[in-house]
Amino acid sequence: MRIIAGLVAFQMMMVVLAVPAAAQLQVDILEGQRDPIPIAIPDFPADMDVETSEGMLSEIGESITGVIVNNLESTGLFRALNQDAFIEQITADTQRPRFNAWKPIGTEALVTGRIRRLADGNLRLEFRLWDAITEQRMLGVGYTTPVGNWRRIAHVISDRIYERLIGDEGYFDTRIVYIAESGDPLDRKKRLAIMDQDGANQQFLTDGSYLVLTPRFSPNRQEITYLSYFNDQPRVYLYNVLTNRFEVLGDFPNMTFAPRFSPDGNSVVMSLAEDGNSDIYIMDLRTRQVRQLTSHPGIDTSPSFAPSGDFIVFNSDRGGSQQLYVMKPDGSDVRRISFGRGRYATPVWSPRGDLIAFTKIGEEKFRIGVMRPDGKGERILTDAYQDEGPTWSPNGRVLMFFRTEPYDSAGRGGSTSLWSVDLTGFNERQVRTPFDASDPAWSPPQPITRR
Amino acid sequence: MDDASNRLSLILSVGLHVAVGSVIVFGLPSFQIERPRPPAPIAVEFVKIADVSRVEAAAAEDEPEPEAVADSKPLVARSEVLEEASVDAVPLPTPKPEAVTAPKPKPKPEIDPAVEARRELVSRARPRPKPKAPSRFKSKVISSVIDRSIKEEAERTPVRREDEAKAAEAEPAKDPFAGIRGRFATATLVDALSQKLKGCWRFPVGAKNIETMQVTVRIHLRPDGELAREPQYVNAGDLSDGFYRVFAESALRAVRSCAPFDEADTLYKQGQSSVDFTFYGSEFSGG
Repeated sequence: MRIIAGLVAFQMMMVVLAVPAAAQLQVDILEGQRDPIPIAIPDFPADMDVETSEGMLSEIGESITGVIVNNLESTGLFRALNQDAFIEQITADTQRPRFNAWKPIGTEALVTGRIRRLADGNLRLEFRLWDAITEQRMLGVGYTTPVGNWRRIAHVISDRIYERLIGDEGYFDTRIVYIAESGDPLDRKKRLAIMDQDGANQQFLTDGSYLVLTPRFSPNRQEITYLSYFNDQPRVYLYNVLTNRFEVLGDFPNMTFAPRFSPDGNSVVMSLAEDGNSDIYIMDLRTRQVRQLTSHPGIDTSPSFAPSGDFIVFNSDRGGSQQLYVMKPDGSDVRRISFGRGRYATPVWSPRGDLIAFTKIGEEKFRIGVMRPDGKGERILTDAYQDEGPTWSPNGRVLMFFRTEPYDSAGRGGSTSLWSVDLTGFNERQVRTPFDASDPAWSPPQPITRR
Repeated sequence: MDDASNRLSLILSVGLHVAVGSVIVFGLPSFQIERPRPPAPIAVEFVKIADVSRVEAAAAEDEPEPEAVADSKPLVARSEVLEEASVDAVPLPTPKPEAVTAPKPKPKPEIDPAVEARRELVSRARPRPKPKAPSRFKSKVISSVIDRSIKEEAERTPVRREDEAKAAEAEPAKDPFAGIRGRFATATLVDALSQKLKGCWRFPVGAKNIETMQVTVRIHLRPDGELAREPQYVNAGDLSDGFYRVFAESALRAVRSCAPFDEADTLYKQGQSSVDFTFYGSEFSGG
C-alpha cells in the first residue's frame, strides 16, 4: 500500500515537474530606461506662404513648433531630436510619413502638422502624432483660431501630445500669477503679475501702489484670491483674470494670512489673527459668512484643502514647533502628520490628491518637499539656501516655488526667482521673469471651445 | 481435537501471512501479461549550480538599431486621411465648428483565436501523464488496487508507445539530459531576454499608480528572430485609463524596438516560438 502510494506520489511529482517545461515561456521585465522619450517635431509647413498680422505664415509654423519643443523639453520627459538630422522633409501635402526615414534617427514619436490661412483670415492648423515604432497614428486634431492665438494653439497642441504620451493631463496652456518685486531692497515695489506657464506674455495686474501678498488661483476658475494692504488694512481680494474684474471679499481689521480656495471654488480658507493668536477660518464666497474652524492657543495658519474637499492641511505650532496637521473641513478630528526633524510650513495639497507639498525649515535651509497625506514617504526635492512657497501644476506633477539668493559679505543678494521641479525631484529649472519674482500660483487649464 | 484444530489454524495463519507478505513484496504473479521491463538505469552526475544563472549583459551597441530596410511587411495603417474626430479650438470671436475624427478603436487585448487553436493542438499532441484518480488512495483492498493498476497499465501502455513513436519521429536524436539541460537553457534564455528588454523599454517616471501596473505582451518569433506577427496583449488592464494605456503601449513599443531576437534559435530548440513578456511598473514610481 505504502509503496504504491509512494509510486503514485512520485508520478504526480514528475507531472508537476514536467508541465513547466512545456508551458509558454514567461519573462518578467522589472526594469527599464528612464531616459526622456525621443520625439521629432519638424516645423509645421504652410501650404502657401502669406503675410499675416503676426508675420509670415511659414514663420508662425516654425514658432509654433519652437514653443511645442520648448514645452515638452521643459518637462524633462522628452528629448526633441535635432531638425538637421531629419531625413524626410515633411511638406504640407504629407499624409503619412515614411517611418523608415524616422526610425534610424532613433525617434519614438513623430509630430507632423501643417498650417494655412483661411479665407476669413483665421488660422487653420492640423497636427498628427505618430508612434514611429508601431507606425500607428496616435492623434489627429485640427484647430481654427485667430492668427494672434498661435502661441496658445502651440500650448494646446503640447498638452495633447503630453497627454497622449505620458497619460497625464497637460499643463502647458496655463498661466502663473506671482509677485513681481523691484526697487530698493528696503522699499520693494510689489506688483501682482501674470504670465504664461513658459514665461511668455508677461503682464502686471496691479500698479504697485499697495502691497500685495499670497496670490492663489481658484482650482477650477480663472480667478485669483490675494491679500493686499489698503490704507494699511489687510483686505482679501478676488480677481477674475478673464474679465479683469476686482472684488473685495472683506476687510479684516486684524492680521489676515494666506487665503486659499476650496476645491469647488465657492469658499476661501484663511487664517485670521486676533490678540496675537491666529486661527483658521472659512468664508463662503456667496453669503460672505465666515466660520471659525480652529480654536487653539497655538498659531494655526496656511490652510489648504484636499482636492476631494474632505480634509484641510494646515500648519500649527501647538505641539511646540511648527508642524503639519490635517483636520476635517468642519475643524474636527485634528491630527499631526509631520514628524521629521525641522519645521514645516506652507503645506499645499496636490490636485491629484496623493501628496502634500511643503516648505521644510531646518539645517539652515528652506527646502521644498512632499509627503503623503498620512505623513509617510517624505521626500525633499530641492536643496538650495532658501526655497519656499510651492504651488502645484494642475496635473499634480510639477511644483513651482521661489528661491531667494543668500546675502554675501558685501550685502548683495536677496534676489528672488521662480523655479520648477518635477515631483520626483528631477528636472529643476528656472522660469525666467523680467523682475525678481516670488510667491507663484499656478492656474487651472485655460478654457477651450471644443466642437 | 483441540490440538489438531489449533495446529491447523496456526498453519493456515502462517501460510496466509506468508502469502499476503509475498503478494506485497513481489506482487501477484502475472500469468499472461508481460510486464514492461524497467528502464535501464541512467547515470546522473551531480553538479554544483550557481545561485543565479549568469548572462552576459547585452552591451548597449548590441541592441538592434532599427534599420532603414525596405519594409516588406504590410503597414497596419489606419485610414490615411485625417478623419476628423475630437477637435478643439481656442475661443474664437466667432466660434467656428470644426470637423474631426471618429474615436479611435482601442487595441484589443483578446487572444488571437488562431493562437488558441495552435496552443490547443500543441497540448494535445504532447503526451502528458495523467494524474491518477484520488479514489485510489481510499481503496483499502490491496488486491483490487493491484488488479486495477495492472489493468490500467495494460490499457495505457500501447497508447503511450504510440505517442512515444510519434515523439521520436518528431525529434529524432533525443538527448537523455534534454529535460535538465532544457531547464538550464530556459533559465539563461529568460535572463537574456529580460536583460534585452530592459534596454528597449522606456517609460517616464512619476505616473499615478504606476507601482500597481503590469501588462503581458506575447510575441511570436520567426526562426530568424523577426516578429512573426504583431505583438499582442495577453492580459491587459483598463486601456481606457490614460496612464495605463500609455504604460501598456510602452510595453508594445519595447518588444517591437527590441526585434530582431537572436534568442529565437534557442527558443526553437526548445520547441517553442512564442514568449510572454510581463512588464511591471513598480520601478517607475518616482523617488
